[in-house]
Amino acid sequence: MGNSKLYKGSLNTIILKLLEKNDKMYGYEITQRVKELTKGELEITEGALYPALHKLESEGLLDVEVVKVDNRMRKYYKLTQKGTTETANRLAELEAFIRNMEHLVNPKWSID
Amino acid sequence: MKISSEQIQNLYKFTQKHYVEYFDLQTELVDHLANGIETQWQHNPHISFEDALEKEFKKFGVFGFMEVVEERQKALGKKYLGIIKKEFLSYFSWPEFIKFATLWSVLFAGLYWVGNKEMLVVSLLIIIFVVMLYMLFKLNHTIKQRRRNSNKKWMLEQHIFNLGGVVRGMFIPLELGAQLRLFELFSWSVLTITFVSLAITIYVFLLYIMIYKIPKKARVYLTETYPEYNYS
Repeated sequence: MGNSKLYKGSLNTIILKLLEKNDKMYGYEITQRVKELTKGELEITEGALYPALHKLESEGLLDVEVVKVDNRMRKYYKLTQKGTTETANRLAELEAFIRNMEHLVNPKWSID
Repeated sequence: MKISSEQIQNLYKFTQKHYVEYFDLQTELVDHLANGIETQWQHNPHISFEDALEKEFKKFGVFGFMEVVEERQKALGKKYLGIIKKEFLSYFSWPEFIKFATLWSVLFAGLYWVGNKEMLVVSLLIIIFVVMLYMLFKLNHTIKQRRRNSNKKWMLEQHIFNLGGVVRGMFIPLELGAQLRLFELFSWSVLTITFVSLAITIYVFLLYIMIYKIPKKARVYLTETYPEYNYS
């Protein structure tokens, strides 16, 4: 159930939020971290993650660093200045969305 | 258990086989697949490299790496447009603006003083066309040389060498200019002359930037985009 359209719309925000907390991360690490945090409930598919990362990079929200690890090269992503600001905006937007959905789905009726 | 260097090379070949031509993207996917395989080995050390790879690749969905490649193309296409914009706008800062203003003024003066203005415009477009063909020919030569020296392909370099896929569009102003009847539609007022001379100036500068300046600086832009790779 964890991979519905509801999550897809929030993929970019999830990535930005993770990078805000972790300074720099690589693609595989992001998929694993999301799985870990949501206890396997949400699995980011590889086919969606990289396009999202590349899009955020082209928008100037992410910066890239390539480091040699073991016998291969690893591409790390981190937030740019612009990315940090945008993360705050998107999180606020997401919070407002969650609040509104809560009101709609689970309205608290009162008679005063 | 860790992936061996030989297996890394196999992973590069695997991405190539699945239509990822570009080294920058291959590298990212190779690391991803390698991490996935190593994780599988932690849970099940007996699974073979090939089986683990197959399992990892399936996670990319039915279209494999296609979506990843397409999105990367789009992202770098955008970057290429950004480079053109930056180069073009650099002519509007001092003292570079002198170059732009000089060409514009010369064209304006020519169109203002010459009697047969249509002939002048057509002649100019023919000259531009010939020079453009020559420059495209030279660029093609550079690309071939580059391919001989290195078998690694870089997506941004491809955009630069393909001129962002707009070669066809570059000929549109020439085709328009060849329609002499078009000139009958307007009278040659000062405003028209200003506009036509400005349009030709912008056209010439864009051609120069795309066909000559950016390809010449390709190395600089590649280093900027892939600073940590040894991309030569």
